Amino acid sequence: MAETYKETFGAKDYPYKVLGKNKPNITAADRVTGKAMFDYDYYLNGMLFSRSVHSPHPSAKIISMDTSKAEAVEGVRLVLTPFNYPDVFYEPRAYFAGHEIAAVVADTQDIADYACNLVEVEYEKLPHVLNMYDAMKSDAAIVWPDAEQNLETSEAGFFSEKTPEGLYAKRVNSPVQGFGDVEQGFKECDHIIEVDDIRHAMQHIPVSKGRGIMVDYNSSEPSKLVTYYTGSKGLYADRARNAGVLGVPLGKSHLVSPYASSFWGPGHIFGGPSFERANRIASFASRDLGKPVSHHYNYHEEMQISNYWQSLTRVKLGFKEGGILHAMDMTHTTESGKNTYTAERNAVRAGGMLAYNRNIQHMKLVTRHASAHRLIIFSYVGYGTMDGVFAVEMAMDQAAEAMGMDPIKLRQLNSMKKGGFDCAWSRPMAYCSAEGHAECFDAVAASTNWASKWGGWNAPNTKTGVVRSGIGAGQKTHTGGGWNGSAMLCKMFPDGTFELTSSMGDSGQGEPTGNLMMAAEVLGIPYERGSMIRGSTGFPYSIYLGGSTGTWNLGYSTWEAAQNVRKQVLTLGAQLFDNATFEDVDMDADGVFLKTNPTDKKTYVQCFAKLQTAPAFENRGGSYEVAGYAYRRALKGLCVPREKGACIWELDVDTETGGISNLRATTSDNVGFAMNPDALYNQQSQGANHGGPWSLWGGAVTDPSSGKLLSYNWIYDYPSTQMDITTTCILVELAGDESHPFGATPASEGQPNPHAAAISNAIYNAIGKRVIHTPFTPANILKALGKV
Amino acid sequence: MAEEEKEVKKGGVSRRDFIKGSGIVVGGAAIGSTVLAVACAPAEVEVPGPTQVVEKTVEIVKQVAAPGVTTLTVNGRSHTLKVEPEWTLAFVLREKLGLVGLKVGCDRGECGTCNILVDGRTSLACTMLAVESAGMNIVTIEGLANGPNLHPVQKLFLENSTFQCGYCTPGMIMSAVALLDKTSRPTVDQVKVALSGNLCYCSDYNRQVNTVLKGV
Repeated sequence: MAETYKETFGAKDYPYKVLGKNKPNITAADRVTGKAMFDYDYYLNGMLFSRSVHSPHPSAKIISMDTSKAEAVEGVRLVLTPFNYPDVFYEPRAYFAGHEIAAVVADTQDIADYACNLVEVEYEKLPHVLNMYDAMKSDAAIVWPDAEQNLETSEAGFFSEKTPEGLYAKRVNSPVQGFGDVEQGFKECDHIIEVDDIRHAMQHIPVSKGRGIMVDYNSSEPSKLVTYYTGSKGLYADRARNAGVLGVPLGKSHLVSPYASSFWGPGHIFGGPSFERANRIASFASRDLGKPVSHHYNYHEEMQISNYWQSLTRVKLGFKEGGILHAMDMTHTTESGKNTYTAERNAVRAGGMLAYNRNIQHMKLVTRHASAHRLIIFSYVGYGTMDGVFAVEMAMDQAAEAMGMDPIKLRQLNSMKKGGFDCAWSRPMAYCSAEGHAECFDAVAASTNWASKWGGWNAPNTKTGVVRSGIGAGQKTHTGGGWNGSAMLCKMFPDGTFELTSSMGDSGQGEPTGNLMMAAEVLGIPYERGSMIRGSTGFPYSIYLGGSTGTWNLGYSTWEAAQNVRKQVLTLGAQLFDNATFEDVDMDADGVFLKTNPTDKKTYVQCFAKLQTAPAFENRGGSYEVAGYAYRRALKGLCVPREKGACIWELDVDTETGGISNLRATTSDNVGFAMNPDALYNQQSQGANHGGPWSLWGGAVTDPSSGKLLSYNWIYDYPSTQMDITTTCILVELAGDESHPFGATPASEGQPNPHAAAISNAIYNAIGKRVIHTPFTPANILKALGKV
Repeated sequence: MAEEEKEVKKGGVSRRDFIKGSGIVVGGAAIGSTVLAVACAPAEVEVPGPTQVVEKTVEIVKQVAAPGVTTLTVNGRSHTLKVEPEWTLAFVLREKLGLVGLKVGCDRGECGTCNILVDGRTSLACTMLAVESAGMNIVTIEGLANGPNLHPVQKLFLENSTFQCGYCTPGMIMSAVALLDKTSRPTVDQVKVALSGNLCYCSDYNRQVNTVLKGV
């Protein structure tokens, strides 16, 4: 079930005309009419289709391939193998069951699929290990031929000792990261809690979107050799990676992605290594066949490569009397694919160092990644940093119990503070420019009536009956909000309309709409008069932009570009008044006017005519434009707002079946200033509907002998539907990021983070048993109850 | 002839039609799928009776037996085209008629992304054969608007930004249209049931329910 319940906590009366109000998404018309073109929707004349051959073995050498039968099929154009296309497949090896080891290009997808089945492969099966826990054992099969073990420790340092000025400005690469003296710190503590073997499996259950790429290599048009059609939110980065495959100059390649579907799994809108193989197949085939080639994954492939992603965490927390968090020691290990060493670092940053930077004096963090013969090519399975937050939030609850404290109070006492050290996801060192966890917890506690429902740590012992209700909390923190810049071009025209241009992709989270609203606000022109052109590398640069982070990040450039236009238009208009400068005039929907006499208004046609110096053309202002371009970083005083919020889950546990039902999520975020509230509610609802189901129902079934996914359906891999979760979304508007033109902060990518922990804590409140392994399946609940 | 008509009017299945249908694999499969649909349909949903099943089967057989040429009525326009018997309606609509507003998700009838209206009822285009839909009135997302004027349900979704990435939106709108055609002021439960077959990975389910609740 899902019901709307909205409230705004601490909202202010902002003086804006456009911002702060709900505006329809500027892409709405395309999306409700089916005109939104996703990459799978492009059809080009002569286009060919590629499909993949997959290894059934988790680890094997490919001795030989006989492609003759496949090549004999009418309509087959090319068969790519590790032997004739080593630049596509690197080596004749399979590293997991389902690994793409060859591809067939044909006139239709059906022909390609059929011919794939005719490729005969001789394998030499090799020892394998199918999960990260076994992979860490000393006798485990080694996944990578050039490695001595499957476990590696990240050495990319992000913390150091304080400088003499008290700033954490030094950065040292070390396998042990942090600051202070953790051993001494724990000696100084009154309460120490240590939780080990916390296991989290994140499973981003896909609703298939035909992910992939189409490559159109056109050697007869040397000025634009290659065009890529794909779903991306970082078009320039993806173009660079794609063009590098064939060594095509960036200036002669072009990437198109007007719409990106909402799949944050392996390597789609965020690029990534898994996607690279599709790109390589399509690129080489298109070059050699002289035709556009589409390589899109089918449903089975998407389910396979979206399979769960594991982590293992140990957390040790030391508190001083009263619940002041003084020392933290955390070792976090994730199953991480080759070329992907960022996930585990993000997890500890969000879960520990960033979330609880208020009082802590001693911190030690070790981040590791372990490889198994399973999904070695992903970059991210799901978004956010659920695994790290899950571990820390479970430990915080147990610490609160050990100290006899309200778990929400303990979190509020130690949560992120403005001016506190940042997780330093980007260089150089930064400091948090906003806070608000405490208020977010107040909001969800009030909304759920936490005080009366939680009932204290003895509450589980007082509950009877088969079905028992529980309530639990979790903190939402995320590393979102980096400061790499993006560019915006803003134009205004004589009829009083304006246009923004950016390369930014769009998965519908509202970032184009938010930027258009900001430009309208600056220009003083109705939002409805604006438009936005985007989704192509033909337009100004942007980084990977997603959700409110995109609005926040790109907002700096949008603001400056619009200010640039505004100043030019005011300068033109001032020429129409005696002895006026741009500072003496203002502009609105109808034109430019003297601040001292708003009724004497000059139209924009009149203003723009001043661009033409020849008197004979003064009435031709209608054909001109004023343009402003800005590339601006968010950086100001090395401050980053990050994401901060809270959630509470309520649920019922059936102690006979282990089933969990009656799921209700209440979630809040300090968004600084809610520029477009509906877009933020959307993100919150989404986070609850992702983070909850990932931990509740992520029950992929795999073949124990090969790791091959067996549950290619949404029965085992169950995503939430309309019927499952009641969500309550609360926007908290406190002081946001003061460096942002409008005080906005990100509140998007970290939305799934706290839900697994809150659900686990709610289960404990219901039955008095800690379940520290996800997913919270009936079997795991019954196991915790000692019934299986 | 008169005797056969009487048999039909009695609500039974004529022996000749039954033999016609069941004697051919494709026809049998069609009966099977229709019966399954009947079994799964909510009680209040109108389902075809046995006579209609047979008529439908006969029609399918005729189509399959024809030399690959089928006439489809899509969004009010008639299209006569060569159709292979195994082609799904989703494939034909997207790749032969260029109606790519119809999105394909799972391609196996689980997600509702490819929902269209067939004779006014929601149908999954990915699990329906193109030859099966000959003679039926097919409406895709492209056929809802009347020229520049959006369908009222499209307007509802537009004004409320009832989507995120928009990939599942066409299918969801078709489900909402089918519901609101029957019930202009549905209850919360009716809306949830009507949309529950449309998996939305962006998952702002609150908004979807509340949008449709506004009715048309």
